[in-house]
Amino acid sequence: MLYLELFIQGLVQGSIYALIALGLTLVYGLLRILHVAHAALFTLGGYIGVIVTNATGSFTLAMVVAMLVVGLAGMLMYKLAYEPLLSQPPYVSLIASIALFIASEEIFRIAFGPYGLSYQTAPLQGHIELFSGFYLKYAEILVMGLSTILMIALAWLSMQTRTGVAWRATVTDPDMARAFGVKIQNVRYLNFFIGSSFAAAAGVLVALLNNLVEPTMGSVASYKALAIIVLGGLGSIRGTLIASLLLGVLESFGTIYIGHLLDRDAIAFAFLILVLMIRPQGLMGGKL
Amino acid sequence: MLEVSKLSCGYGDIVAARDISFRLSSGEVLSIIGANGAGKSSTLMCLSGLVEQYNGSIQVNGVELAKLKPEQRIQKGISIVPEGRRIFPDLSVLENLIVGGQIVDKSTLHLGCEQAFNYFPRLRDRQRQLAGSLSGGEQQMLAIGRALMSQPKVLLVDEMSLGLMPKVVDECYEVLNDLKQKNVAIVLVEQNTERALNAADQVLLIEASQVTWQGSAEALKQTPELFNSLLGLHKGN
Repeated sequence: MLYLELFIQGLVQGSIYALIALGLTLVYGLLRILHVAHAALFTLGGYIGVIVTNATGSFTLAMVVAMLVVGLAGMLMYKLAYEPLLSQPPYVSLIASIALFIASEEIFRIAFGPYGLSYQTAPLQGHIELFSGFYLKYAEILVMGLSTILMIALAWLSMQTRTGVAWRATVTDPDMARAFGVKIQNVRYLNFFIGSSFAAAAGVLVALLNNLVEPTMGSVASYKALAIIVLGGLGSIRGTLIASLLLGVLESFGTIYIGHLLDRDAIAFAFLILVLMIRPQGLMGGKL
Repeated sequence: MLEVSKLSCGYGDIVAARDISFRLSSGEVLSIIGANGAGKSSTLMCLSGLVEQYNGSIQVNGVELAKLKPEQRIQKGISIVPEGRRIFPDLSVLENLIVGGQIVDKSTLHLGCEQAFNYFPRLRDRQRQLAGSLSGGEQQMLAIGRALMSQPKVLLVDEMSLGLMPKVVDECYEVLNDLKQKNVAIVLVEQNTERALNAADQVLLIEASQVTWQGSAEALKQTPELFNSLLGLHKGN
């Protein structure tokens, strides 16, 4: 029973990781930029989720608004911060991204206060008994359910639509994609919109699980997501999904069995180092 | 159809081709020949907008393309079969064709796929297969099929026979011949000078980034000294 509980908890955490890391992978795959400021969008999503829920009483509306607004914010971030730097070496974009992330934490602190916000009445806090003695919170079910739905929607978009095919072609060879009429600027906007709205969904869900959103909540998300995309193989969507779930489950078991030696984050990075020693290209990356 | 006037292009400060001019009518084939590094492929890439154009004019049916981006040029009727095929290896054969037909509506897309499969039946059998797993010949067929998806008026073909078995090259040239009958204008860059001259109505010889001879293929054949030296150039390669 304990194993099953730990496994489910791991999947819940892994689903959150997947939603955050996927946006990072999408941006890296298309532009070869390490989009550290992605974590700021995650935090922004959390704030919008709490504020809209408290104002309207509708968690569903809050989720939709957060995904839309943060998706647009991601597009704006690309337009203003990354697009002017595309012709520069990659570390220039990385520095800009880190600066954006640090600045955003301060902006959140100034705008919403240093102590964070909570739901006035936290939604989905009940639980159901799946079988004898095994309980699952509604919020945890929502995390897994929504993550699965969003992943399926992304898979459908990228595999079954002309837009998705054009998107994947652009990732492989942007010049050739352009030569056949793909508007790569639109592809980049779409990429940032989807990645950012997924991060927003993760932010809203984390705020729901912890009943708290605070200015620095993106810090752990930023370095954990970077670890995940390296672990999965830079730019590999499948690798990111596998690494996210694997890391979630590993952390879940690790905190119980080796928690007295390593804390949760240390377990994640120890695992990352171990995998990279055996497979430097990550779990699903191509040969280096 | 295609009118190029005093076209110069290159990469930053490096001039790849200068003062290229020619006129090509519907259903005509222009072969650009020359040694490696002469500027043939760069000229072709410049026509499709992928290499920087310094000056000059490119017109398709009187419409100026010089200021248009690659994604806009294909809408004016120019499509390319690039050197090295440059298919999308992680996409299936069918998906590669779908990218090629990015600018056409759904029904034209289906017709385009059918056309590609009729030209190259092997692609129909492999339509769900990843393009990167195809043989070199099949990849070339896919590159041609993909370029035809947008129903081009002008087809740019770069080094089509490079590294392919003669039988596959024959098959590809048969398709070009059929396109010629269907009034598609073709600009052909080809290392295999003999094949290039056989297919051509017009010939452009480029040496060191400049045109050193141009005229009809017939005129070239009646200039035995040059004709033989060009064939020698091919054998030398």
